Amino acid sequence: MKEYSTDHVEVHVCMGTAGVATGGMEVMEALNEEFAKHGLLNAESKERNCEAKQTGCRGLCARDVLIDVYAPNKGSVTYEHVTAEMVPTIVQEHLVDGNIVEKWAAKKDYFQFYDKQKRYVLHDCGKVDPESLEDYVRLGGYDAIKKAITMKPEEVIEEVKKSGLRGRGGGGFPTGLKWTFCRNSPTDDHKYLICNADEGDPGAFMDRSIIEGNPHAVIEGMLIAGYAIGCDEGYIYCRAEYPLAIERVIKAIKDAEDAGYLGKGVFGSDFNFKLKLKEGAGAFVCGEETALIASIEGERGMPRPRPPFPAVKGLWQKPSNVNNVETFANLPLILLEGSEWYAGIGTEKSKGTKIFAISGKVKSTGLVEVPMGITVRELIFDVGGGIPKKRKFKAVQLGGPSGGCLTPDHLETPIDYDSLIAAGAMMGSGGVVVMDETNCMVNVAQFFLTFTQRESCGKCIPCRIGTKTMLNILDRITTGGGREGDIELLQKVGEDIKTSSLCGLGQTAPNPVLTTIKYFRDEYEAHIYDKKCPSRECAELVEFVVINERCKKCGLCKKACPVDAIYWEKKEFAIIDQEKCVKCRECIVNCPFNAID
Amino acid sequence: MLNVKINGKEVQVAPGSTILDAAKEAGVSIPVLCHDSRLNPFGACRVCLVEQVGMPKLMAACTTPVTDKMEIITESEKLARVRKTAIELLLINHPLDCPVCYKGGECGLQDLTYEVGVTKVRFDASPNDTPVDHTNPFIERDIDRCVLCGRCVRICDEVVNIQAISFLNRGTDTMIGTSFEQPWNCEYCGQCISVCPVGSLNNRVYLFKNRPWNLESEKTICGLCSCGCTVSIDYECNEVFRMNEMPEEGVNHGYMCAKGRFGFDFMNSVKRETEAQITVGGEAKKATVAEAVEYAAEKLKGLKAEEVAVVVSPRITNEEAFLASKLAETIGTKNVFSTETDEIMPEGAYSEVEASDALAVLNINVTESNPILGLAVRVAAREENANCFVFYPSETALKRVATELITGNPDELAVKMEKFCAAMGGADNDFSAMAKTMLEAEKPVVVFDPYNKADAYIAQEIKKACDKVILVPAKSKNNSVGIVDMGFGKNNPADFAKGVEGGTIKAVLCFGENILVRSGWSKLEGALAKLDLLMVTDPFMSDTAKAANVYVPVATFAEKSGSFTNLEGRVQEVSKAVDKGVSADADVIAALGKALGAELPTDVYAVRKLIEKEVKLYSGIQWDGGKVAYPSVFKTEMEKASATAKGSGKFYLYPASLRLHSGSYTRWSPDLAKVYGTPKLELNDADANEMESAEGDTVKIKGDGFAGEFVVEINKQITKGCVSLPEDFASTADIFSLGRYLKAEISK
Amino acid sequence: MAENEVVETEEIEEIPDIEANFDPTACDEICEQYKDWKGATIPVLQKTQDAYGYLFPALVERIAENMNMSPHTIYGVITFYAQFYTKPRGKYIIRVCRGTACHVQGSGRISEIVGEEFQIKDGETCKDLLFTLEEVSCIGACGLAPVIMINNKTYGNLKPEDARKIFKDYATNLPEA
Repeated sequence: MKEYSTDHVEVHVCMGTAGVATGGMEVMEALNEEFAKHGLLNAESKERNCEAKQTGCRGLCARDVLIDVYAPNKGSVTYEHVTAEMVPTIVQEHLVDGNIVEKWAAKKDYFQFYDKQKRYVLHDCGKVDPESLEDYVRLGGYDAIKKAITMKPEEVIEEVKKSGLRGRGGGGFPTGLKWTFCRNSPTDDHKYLICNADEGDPGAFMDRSIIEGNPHAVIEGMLIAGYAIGCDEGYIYCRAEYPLAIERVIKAIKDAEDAGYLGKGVFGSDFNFKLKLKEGAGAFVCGEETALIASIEGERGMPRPRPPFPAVKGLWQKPSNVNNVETFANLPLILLEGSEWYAGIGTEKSKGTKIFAISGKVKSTGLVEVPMGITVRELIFDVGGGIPKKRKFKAVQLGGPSGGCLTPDHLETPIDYDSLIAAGAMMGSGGVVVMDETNCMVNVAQFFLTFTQRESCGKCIPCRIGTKTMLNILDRITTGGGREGDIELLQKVGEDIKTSSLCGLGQTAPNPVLTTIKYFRDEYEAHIYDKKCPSRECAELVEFVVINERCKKCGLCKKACPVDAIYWEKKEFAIIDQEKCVKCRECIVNCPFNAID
Repeated sequence: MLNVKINGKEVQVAPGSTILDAAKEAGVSIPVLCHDSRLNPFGACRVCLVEQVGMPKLMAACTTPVTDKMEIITESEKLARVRKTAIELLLINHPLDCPVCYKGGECGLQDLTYEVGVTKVRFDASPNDTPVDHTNPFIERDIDRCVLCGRCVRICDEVVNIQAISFLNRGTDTMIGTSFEQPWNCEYCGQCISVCPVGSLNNRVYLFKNRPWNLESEKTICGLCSCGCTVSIDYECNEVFRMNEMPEEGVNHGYMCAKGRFGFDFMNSVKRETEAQITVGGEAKKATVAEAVEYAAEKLKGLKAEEVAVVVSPRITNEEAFLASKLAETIGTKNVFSTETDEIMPEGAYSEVEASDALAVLNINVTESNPILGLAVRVAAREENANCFVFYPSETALKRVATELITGNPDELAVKMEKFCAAMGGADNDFSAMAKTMLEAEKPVVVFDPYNKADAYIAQEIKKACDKVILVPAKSKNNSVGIVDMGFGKNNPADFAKGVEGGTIKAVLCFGENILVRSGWSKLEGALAKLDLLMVTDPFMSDTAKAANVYVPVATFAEKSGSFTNLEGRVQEVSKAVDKGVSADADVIAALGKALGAELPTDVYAVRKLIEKEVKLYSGIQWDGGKVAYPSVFKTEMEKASATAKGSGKFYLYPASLRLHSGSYTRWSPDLAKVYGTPKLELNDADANEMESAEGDTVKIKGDGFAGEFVVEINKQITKGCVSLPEDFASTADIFSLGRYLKAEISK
Repeated sequence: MAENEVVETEEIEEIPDIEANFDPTACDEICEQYKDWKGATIPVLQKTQDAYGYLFPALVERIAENMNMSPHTIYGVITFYAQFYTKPRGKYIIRVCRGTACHVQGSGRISEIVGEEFQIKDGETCKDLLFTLEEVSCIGACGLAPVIMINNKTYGNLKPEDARKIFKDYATNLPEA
C-alpha cells in the first residue's frame, strides 16, 4: 500500500453521504473561494499551491464535515465538525499564516478511533478523489489486475483460496471455492459476474462508503474475479437509495472504459470484460443472490429455488458468480500484497479485516475496519469510544435484521464468522448497533421484524405469513396484550420459519427475536406478566408518573414536554397530567435521573 | 440413471429428476401445494420439504434435483412440524367457509390440513374479507381464499403466454391481480381455474350447481374443435355439470380452452329438442323417431338413387360417418358431401410442434381457431433458441412469443407470404433471413389454414423447397379429418350446391350439418325448400333443421360413444357419459338403413371391425390414440390460387377468428353467447376515430353483392384499413360465400 | 334539499394534467433507447417515472405495448419495488430514515409528527400535493441520527419539535423544490 503524499497543499473534504449532508459541498465552495481570495490556487510555490479535493468517507461520520489538510512532507492535520463559516479562519491561520487552528483540530479522542483499526481495504478511502481515475492509479490502482493477467486464471483462484478470503456479504462462504464452481461450470457463451451492492440492512453502510470513496477498487476487484472465473460480462447491482454511489460508479466505469481498462483486451491480454451498472428499485430482498438475478432480468425480485445454484444457472440461465462490494474491494490487496500477507491478518478461519458500520448508542458512530478476531469489547469501547451519557452497555446487534443480539457477557467474544454464529449472532454484512439500558429488547426485536416482514417478498408461506404472525405477537406483548405461552410460541414458530423458508431472508428473520428471548427473557416476561417495560420504551406499558425518590426537581422534563402536560415549579417535584399526556416519551428520554415510570 | 433412496427404498431415476419424481417412483407420497409438474420449479409453499441424510438443511422435493446416492427421508418429526406450521399459517387468513366453498371436497388446502393433522390453530384467526370479484364472465375470483401458490400466474405466463395476471405488491400485501386492478381480460381459457388448489378461482358455469362428491366422471374427447382434447365429463343424473381437464392427460396435457371449459352447457340446454318432427305442407307435427325414419324411407323409395344426397357434419363420429357412407351405398348414390374435402390431410403431431425450433404460422389465428395447437406453438416459440414467424392480417395473441409478426391488409399479406415462399425456394428478398432460419432449423414446422387454397399452395411450395418442414393443416371441427377418412371428402362441396340448385338432387339426408350457415351453402334456403325430402338430425332446431321436412333430435358427443380423428390424424375414443333420451346419429342411420333393407350394426365395436376391414388407412388402427398414416399431405398438386380481395371499396374485409366459438354449435351455449352472441365488425381504433364511431355503434357495410349492418367492436390489433367479421353466422356466411377477402365501404 | 337526494361526500379527485393529456413521446423515446437491452423493464420504468413523475395506467399500457409485454407483468414489477409510484407525489418528499440508528434515536416519533402536521402516513401524499411521507430504510447518515431528508436536503440530529418547526416552515414558506 502506497502511503499518501502530495507535492502541493491538498485539503481533503469528506464528500460521502454524511459529509454532503452536513454541508461538505458548502465547505468545498468556501475553500475554493478563500483560496482564490488569498491567491493560493495554482500558486507557484508548492507550499502555497492549494487544492480543495473531494474524497470519500473517513469513517467518523459523527464528526462530519471532516477535512484533512495535507502539506508536502508535513503529513496531515484533521479538522472536525467543519462548517463553511469556519473555512476563512482555517485558510487564514493554517494555510496563510502557517499556524494550526488548535481549537478545531482533531484531538486524541479522534485518533483513538483509528488506534485499533487496520484500514487496508479503506486505505485509500478518504484520500483519493473517488471521481478521479488518475488519483487511484497514482496510488497503485489497477496494478493488481495487471499482475493477475500475467498469471493463469487457476493461479489467481489459488491465490484467493490461499488468502482465506470469505464472502463479506453475510454468509462467509470461501470466495475462491465459490469461484471454482462457476469457473468449472460449462457454458455455450457467457458467464456473468455480479457485484452485489444492494446493501439494505438498516444500520449498514459499508458498501456505500467503499463505492462512494473508492469505486475503482471495486471495478479492479471485479476485473480480477472476472479474469479468474472466465466471465466476460459484469453487473454492479446498486441500491437506488444510494444516488451518490451510483453517480460515482457510472463515472468510474466510463473512465475505466475510456482508459481501456474495461472492454476488449484488458491491458493487452485476450481477456474481455464489459461492465454495466444496474440500479435497484427499492427492495431489500434483492440482496439475496437469486432475487438479485431476477431483478437484473427485469422481474419481481422473488428468490428462486436453489439448486440450481447461480454458479450453474444464474443470470439468464448462464453460470454466474455473485460477490459483495467489500469482497471485491479486498481482491486488489490480496493480489498485490500476496495471499500470505493477507492470511497473516485475522484468525485461523477468518482472514483479513472486516468493515463495520457502528451506530446506535456509542460515542463514535461511523465506519471502521478492524482485523478479524478483535473482541466485541474492543470494537465498542476502544474503537467506538463506549456508551455516551454515562449509560450502561446493554446489548449489541450484529448482522442487522438477520443477525442477533449479544450481551455484556459476550464482550470478550472475538469477532469472526464462526465465533459469532456460535454466540447466536452473525457477521452479516457488518452492521453494529449498540444499545444502552434505555433500549427495550422486545422493542428492538419488534423493530427488526417489522423491517424483515415489510421486506419479505411474499413468495413462501413461512416468511410471508410467519414473520407477520410473529410480529403480531410482539405487537401484543409490547402493548400489554401478551399472553402466557407467547414466548414459547415465538420460539417454536421462529424455529420453523428458520428451517422452512425459501431464502436467506426468511431463514434468518426470526434471529433477532430468538436471540433476544435467549438473552433477555426476563424483559419479555416483564412485558407479558407484569405489563411493564423495564426500559420504559414501550409507551403503552409506561404509566408516566414521576418517581419522587429519583426526581431531582431539575425541570428538564417540563421543557421537553411538547404538550405542556408537566407541572413543575422550582424546587418542586414534577407532576404529569395524565389527561394531557400523549405518551410521546420525550420526558423519559430527557430525564437524566430515570425518574419517570 | 441415478440411484436414490427414499425412506430406505432404493429407486433408479433419470438425471434431472426431482426428489418428488424419485419419491413417486418409490411409491412414496409427498404433500405438495404450489407444485405443478407442467410448470417451472417454484418452491413457494414449503410443504414438500424433505430431509437428506447428512445434510442440515431441509430441501423442497419439488424443486431439488436428485444426485446419485442421495438418501431422502420424507417423514420425520421435524418435517411434520414445519409442514403443520405452514398450513396453520395459511389458515390464519384463509376463510374457513368450506361448507359453502366451490372447492369443498376437492380442495388442496382442505386435504393438506387433514393430511398434516392440523386440529387447532395456535394463532389468532384473522380471515380476509374482500368482496368477491365477478367482473370476468367465466371466472369468479375470491382472493381471500388465495394461498399464493402462483400456479395461476405461472400457467398464464409459462403455458398460455398471455400474462393476464401477475403477482402484485409484496410481503403480506402480495396478491394475484391485474394492472391497476382492472377487470380480468383474457382469452378465458380457464387454465388458471384448473390449477387453483383452493376456491379462489372458480368456474362460474359450474359454480353452486353441484358438489364434487355427487358427480361421476367419464373420460372422453372434447367434441368442439379439431384439437382432440382429453377431458372429463362430470355428471349427475344425466345432467352434465362440468367439462373438466384431466391433469396432464391427453394430447392437451390437461389444458383446455374457453369453449370446452365454459361452453359445454349447451348439452343441458332447455332449447334442445326431444321429439322428432315431420313437416308436411308447412305444418309441423311431432313424431317418434321410428315414424320420422319411416316417413323419410318412404320418400326415398320414390326417388332415383342419384337424386339422393347424404351430407354429414364434421361433428359426428367416425363410426357414424362410416355408417352414413354405408347408407349411401345402400341407396346407391355417390352424392356424399360435407364441408370438408380430401385434398389436404394431417401430417405433424403436437409433439413435433412443441419441439420445433422454427415455426411459421401462415395466416391463421391459431390460438383462437385451435387453442390447444396454439398452446403447442407457444410452448415451442417461447424457447430461447426457437423462432416463430406469424403471418396474419391483424396482430394476434402470438405477438408475445413471435420472433416476427408480419401483418398487412390481405393483399399485402398475400404478397409477403409469396415472397417468403419464394425465399424458401432460394429467391433473394426481404424474407431471405427468415427463410434461412427456417431452412437451417432442425425441426421446422408450418401451420396453415387448409380451407384457404392460396395458403395451402404456399405451404405445399415450402414443403417442396424444404422437405424436413412438417406441415400442420389446422382443420377446424372435432372430426373434420375423420369424416373425410370415412369417405365424405371425395366430392367438391360446390357440387352439392349445384345439385340442389339445379334440381338434380331431390332428397338430402343431412346428419348434423347446419347447411345454411356454411359459406358456399348459405344461400340454398330457397332450393332446400323445394326438395322432396330434407331430413336433418341435430341436437338443436338449427336454421337448417327448421327448413327440413323430417327432423330428428340427436345426441351430442357427451351422449354417445365412438371416435374422432383430430387435426394430427390421431384417432381417439369418445365415451358416452349421459343419456338425454335422444338417439345418436348412428341409431338414426341404422334405422333408415334397415327401412331401406340394409342391416347396419350400431354397436361401436362392430362398426370399427367393418371400418378396419374397408377403410385402408384404418386397418389395424389403435382406436385409443393411434395416428393415421397418410401417404401425403396433399392428395394432388395444389394449384396456385388467387388471394386478391374481390370487389371495390375502401376497406378490406376478411373472416375474423372464431372468438370463443366453434361454428354455430357453441352458440347454443348460454355462457359463451353471453360474451359473444352476435357477430361484431372489428375495426381499428384510428379508422373508428375517422368515422367518428365508437364501440357498440352500428355501422353499415356494403360491397359488391352484399350489404349489412353490424355492431362495431374496436380492436387495436386490426390493421388500419381492414375490418373483419366472424364467418359462420347466417348473416355473415352469405357475405363470405362471395370470397374470403372482399372489399367494402363502411359508413355510419 | 329534497329528502332523498344523495349527498356527494366523496371528493372527486381531479385527474392530473400529465395523465389527462398524456403525451407518449418521452415514453416512446425511452423504450426505443432500451429496445435491445435484455431485462430492461426496471430501467425503463425508472426513466419513464423520472420523465412523468409517476406511473399511471395509460403510461403503463404504453410501456407494455412498446416492450411487447403484458401490462400486468409490468404492474407486478412496479408494485414489488418501493421506488415506483403509481400516484402523483408531493412537491416535497419527506424521507424519514427508519434505519436502526435512527430508530434507537427516536425516528418513529418524527414520522408521527409528519402525520400530525399533514395527515399522511408512510407512502401517502397530502391532498394539495405538497408533501409526501416516505419512511426509508437507512440512508446511511447514521452519525447524524435521527435524520430526515426533504427532497435533497438532509436534516440531522433532530429533536421532534425541531422537526415540527422545519415542517411548519416548509408549509408556510413553500421554498422552491
